[in-house]
Amino acid sequence: MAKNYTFNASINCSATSSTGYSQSQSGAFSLNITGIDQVQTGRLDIATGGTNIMEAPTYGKVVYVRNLDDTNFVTVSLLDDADNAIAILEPGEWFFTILRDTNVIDAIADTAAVTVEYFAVEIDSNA
Amino acid sequence: MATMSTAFTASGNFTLTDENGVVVFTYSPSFTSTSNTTAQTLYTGEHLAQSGGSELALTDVNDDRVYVFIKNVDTDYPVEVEASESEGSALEMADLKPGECFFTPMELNSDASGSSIKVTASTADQKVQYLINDAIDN
Repeated sequence: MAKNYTFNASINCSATSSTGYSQSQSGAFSLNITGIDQVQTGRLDIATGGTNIMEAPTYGKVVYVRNLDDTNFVTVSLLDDADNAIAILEPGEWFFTILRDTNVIDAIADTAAVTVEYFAVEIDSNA
Repeated sequence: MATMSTAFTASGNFTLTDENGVVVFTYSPSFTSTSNTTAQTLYTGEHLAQSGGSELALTDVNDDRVYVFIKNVDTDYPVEVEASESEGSALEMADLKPGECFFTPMELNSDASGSSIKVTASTADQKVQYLINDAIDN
């Protein structure tokens, strides 16, 4: 099984005021990831009681979650605890981050279960 | 009374390729928020993240959800991003090596104890660029 990967990311963000004032920022980078075991991706139902997205990695991870629900938001957290949220995603919204720690990634649905699109990839200490 | 109305758009492209050249996944998400008629901030700029930690100027933020994009534009050391004081111990949102960036719709005030973003450089001060915009509260 492959254990070495190349991860490429690019992000573009812009904010516009009704006055016509607008600002944007963007970024792109690449990671060479070697000797890892956890590569998870797909779609997942998130329960109101919480659902684990990624078990604790050895060193760190890159994480993406997109809320595919039409109505309810979902909270993504480092622990099984909504107070430790790192993202609160309204329908259609997504987030991406890099964390070089050994915490798990959990998600908690509000009101009713939601489906998310996601990836969670372990990274090594040199990435 | 004047009001501020803003809309936010975020798009990305993420690809993982294995050592054999097989594309494991590609995602290209995008969304545009509805107009937030209660927005109070649209901040962008460059900030010197200090090794002892420093805070982005968010005193007028709407104290709840915000869209946050931050990029480490320096060349030497990582920068840690935290939702300052959102918990008893600061909650880490991202660890960015030089050139890396992240984006998240995040809540800064989950337990009503704080509403700012803290950036901390390791070893020596590092520059970050950021775009922060009030989001509609969930």
